[in-house]
Amino acid sequence: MRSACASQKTSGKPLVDAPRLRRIDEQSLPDHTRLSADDECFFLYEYTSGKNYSFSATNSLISNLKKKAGAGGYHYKAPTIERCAQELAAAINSKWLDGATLVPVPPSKVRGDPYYDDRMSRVCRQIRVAPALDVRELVVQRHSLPAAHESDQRPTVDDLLKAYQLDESLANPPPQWIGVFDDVLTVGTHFVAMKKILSDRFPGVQISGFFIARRVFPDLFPDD
Amino acid sequence: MQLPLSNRDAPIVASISPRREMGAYEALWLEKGASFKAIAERFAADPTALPSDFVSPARADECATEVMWILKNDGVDRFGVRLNHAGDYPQRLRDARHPIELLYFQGAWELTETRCVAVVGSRKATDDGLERAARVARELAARDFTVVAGLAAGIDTAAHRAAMEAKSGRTIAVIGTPLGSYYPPENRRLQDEIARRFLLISQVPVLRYRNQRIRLNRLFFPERNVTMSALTEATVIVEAGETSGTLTQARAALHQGRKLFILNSCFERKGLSWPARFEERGAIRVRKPEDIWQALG
Repeated sequence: MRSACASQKTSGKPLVDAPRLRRIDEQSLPDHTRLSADDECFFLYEYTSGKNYSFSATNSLISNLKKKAGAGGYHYKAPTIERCAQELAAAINSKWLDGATLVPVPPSKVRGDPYYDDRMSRVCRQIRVAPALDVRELVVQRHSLPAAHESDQRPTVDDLLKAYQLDESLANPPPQWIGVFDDVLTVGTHFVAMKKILSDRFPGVQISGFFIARRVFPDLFPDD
Repeated sequence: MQLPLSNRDAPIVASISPRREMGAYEALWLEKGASFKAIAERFAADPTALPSDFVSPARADECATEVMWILKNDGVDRFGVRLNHAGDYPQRLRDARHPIELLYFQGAWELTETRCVAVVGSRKATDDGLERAARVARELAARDFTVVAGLAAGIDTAAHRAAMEAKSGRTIAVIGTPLGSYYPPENRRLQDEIARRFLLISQVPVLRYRNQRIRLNRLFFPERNVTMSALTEATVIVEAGETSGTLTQARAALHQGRKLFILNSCFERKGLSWPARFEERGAIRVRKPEDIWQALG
């Protein structure tokens, strides 16, 4: 009952005062151990790890965003994608968007898998409809992986680099600058792997990360 | 060919570095004449401004470094900030007469999204008052409310402890000192436990608190009552003297359109004029617990 209310609360409502993006800075960097100081990453919200506060607006926003086809509350997914896109649109520089290539982190399941979920591509495409944005699924996976948030063993950067490949059919024209988009920033593995494969192919191109939320720990010893 | 990114073409027009904003906010507090009122007026005149719009980046970063150093030395290894215009900042804080631009916290911020009721009162409480505070807190917890108090001795402490001892009880402490500072000192363990298991909030600037006389730091205590009221949907006053700082919260609650409950025992105590005064202005006299539950709905 409560989660249903939370879902309604956080799906597709109109924006009154859209938040500005926050940058991962020196203070927040230690929460994302794979990132380094020269990684430029932005996020809208924070949520506390390991507490599963189903009432929390951000928790239910992410939960709605990740809803699988056929799951209860799946009808919240589309309005939530729209809301995320609107909030990013309000927070990202439109001049930057004019020249940017938006690259979603590939879903854990490949196209054709019954659980294939292109939510971040949909978010990117809805950030601006006209003039259309340059959204390219430049990085694809060779095979499905367990969803990181559902797996005990989180992938390493090397695991992802083995699974990722650059889709050469989309590589031209070369991007001027790139935004990598994902829903949740945890340790930063996916961003680092994306940045590596993209910067190897497009050297010198600035790559920034955009996240709907980052996860934070409530204290130094979360399992205490 | 790759085009250089100018500032104009940076990904974000005005992205927020929480660390720099924290430093800038602290720098504002070190300026002569700084107060919650003066700082709020500055932001009211420029409603989209961030603290860093008023302070040089170098000064902000210098202050941020000092704050981080002080907090670390005080045992605060992990903390967060909430900032107006960034995600996760509760808009209801804007209901305060002088809204707070930045808050420090330790613990799970999500607790602010639950239904919250403040239970506050005298530091030198009577035994009956302490028992009443605990009872109200237990009953709030049983009804899935989060109990908010100011971690002061007396009523606040009784309310926090009862909420924490209740099954699935939750509590938030809004303190009148910076994170890592303790008042009263005997509540140190309680403060640490609330920070670890629940949520501890402070609006007190770290550098100003350290740099000014202790006597002036007392002023931060009633100011945090205003924020406590803004964060919650109602305040319950269990017991308070005629000049108690708790009455700051009573005034704030009515000004902010929050419900204000005053236990009947306050009305029955001889020599107190404030309960009737606040009742006239809209406070609810609580003769039985149902009066609270009915009004909260």
